[in-house]
Amino acid sequence: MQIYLPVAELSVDVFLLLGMGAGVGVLSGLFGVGGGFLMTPLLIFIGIPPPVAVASEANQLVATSVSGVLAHWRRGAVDFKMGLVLLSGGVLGSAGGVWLFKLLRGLGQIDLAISLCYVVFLGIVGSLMMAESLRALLRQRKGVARRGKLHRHIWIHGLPLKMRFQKSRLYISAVMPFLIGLLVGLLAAIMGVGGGFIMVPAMIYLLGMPTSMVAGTSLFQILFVVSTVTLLQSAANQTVDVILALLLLAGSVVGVQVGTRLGARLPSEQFRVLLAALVLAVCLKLLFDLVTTPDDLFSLQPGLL
Amino acid sequence: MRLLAAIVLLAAAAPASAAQFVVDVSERTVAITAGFTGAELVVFGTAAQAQGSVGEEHGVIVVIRGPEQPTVVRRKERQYGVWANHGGVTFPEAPAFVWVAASEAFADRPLAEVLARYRIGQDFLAPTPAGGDIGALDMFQAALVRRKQVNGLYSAEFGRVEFLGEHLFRTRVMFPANVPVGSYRIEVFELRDANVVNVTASALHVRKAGLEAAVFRFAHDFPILHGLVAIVLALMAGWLAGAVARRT
Repeated sequence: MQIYLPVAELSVDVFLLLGMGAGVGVLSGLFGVGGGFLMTPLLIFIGIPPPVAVASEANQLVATSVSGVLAHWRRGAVDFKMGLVLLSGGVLGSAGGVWLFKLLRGLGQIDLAISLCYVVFLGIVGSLMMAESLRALLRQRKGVARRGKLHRHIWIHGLPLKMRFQKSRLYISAVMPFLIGLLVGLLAAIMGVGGGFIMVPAMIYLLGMPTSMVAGTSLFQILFVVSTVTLLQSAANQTVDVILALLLLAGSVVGVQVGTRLGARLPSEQFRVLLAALVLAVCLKLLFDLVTTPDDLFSLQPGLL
Repeated sequence: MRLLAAIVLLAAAAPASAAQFVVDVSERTVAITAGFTGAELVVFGTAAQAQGSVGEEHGVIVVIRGPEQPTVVRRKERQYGVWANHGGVTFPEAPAFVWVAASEAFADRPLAEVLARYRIGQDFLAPTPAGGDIGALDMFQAALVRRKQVNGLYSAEFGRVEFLGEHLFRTRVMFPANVPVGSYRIEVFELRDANVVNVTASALHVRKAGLEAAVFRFAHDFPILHGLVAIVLALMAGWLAGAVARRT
């Protein structure tokens, strides 16, 4: 059954969109990731114009993150103070990102910018994840548990503007979380992702936040950043397709539940290797498309030069 | 039924040898609704000259085209190992959609050749550029037409105009699902030997209708409010999903 997407201005099979939503939803539930980094490239692969894919996916992520935030909040696992510092950077970053997006679109370079961002970040995150999960698997086989230091003092702790974050039991400079928020906001606007895949490792390794606070706090930041991106993309570029977002959402709601239940039963370490492989596969596919000679060197774009 | 009746009426009205050149179309508007997968129209009419009564070069060409919109053609070049857009040409008035059909005498011949011979379609087969990389202009013009053909928006070869008897003709036009909204022109040319002997032009509109139209207008006319509504909808959907999940 075909449906005409009013903003994307093309017809797509409803069941394809629902299926994509469900598929990415299962992975989200299984691994606790938002799935934007998989959904946006998938949307582009099926022919949705990249600007519409990015903006509509941000809209869908609003829905995906809100139930997560509420669940973590009920458990008291959200550090609001840290969240607000991250968010102040995030709002600024996403405003800059939407502006940059508009500029690059005018120059005809937005498709390239989106692809390059994906290749770089999926490449880095995929490789790190692969290395980390393979190491964990090896450790599991050997049965040796390694203990790290409780607190490492690195250059980050020498930055000014120190703040106390009671919930995370941290006394650190506010500059670092602000910068992390800024980067994530920028990427959210350009790539149509929540940015959890960058923020979560950054919060653990750069800020030293306790793992119990990381998921809830990053979701809190993501909720507000993707909302900002949705609003700004709609206002500046008119590229948010609500019908597309709602269809993806309907699929992912079901998928996430299936994924969460599956995740409780399956060995997570082995599956992390699979997720890493998937991330690297998407990265390689995008890289391949960038370096191989296209079928037609020419492309059309509505508007004036 | 209405169409059939119209064709029968036209046929009845046409005298045997010299008829009036009359053209009409089955619908004046194409409405894009939620389930839109394309639309079929029928253009029909009577030719003034009876088929077969004059030389071989006799027949009808139907051109449907519209809406003129500024289009940029960009060319990719390899830079640092990656293919990136580099340079482009703007065509301020390139039609978004062009469909061409011809009767038997022309239908099997190359489209560009026939149109050039009768001086039809210089504006869409070789649209005028505005500035840019003028040096390689032909290449950009050809690329515009080629990309449009690949997307199914320009005819690559003639559709068929069928004659039913000596004067009455008709042709089916398929508008694809990605047809752009706007005003279209239907032009019908009657040809004899090397000349265009009759021309008619009429208008056709493609527009979004129903929910699709409402959503599109809202997104473009009230972009900020639209963004807020999009957020609220997503918040409600997400909250609802979470609430249902907790219950089960």
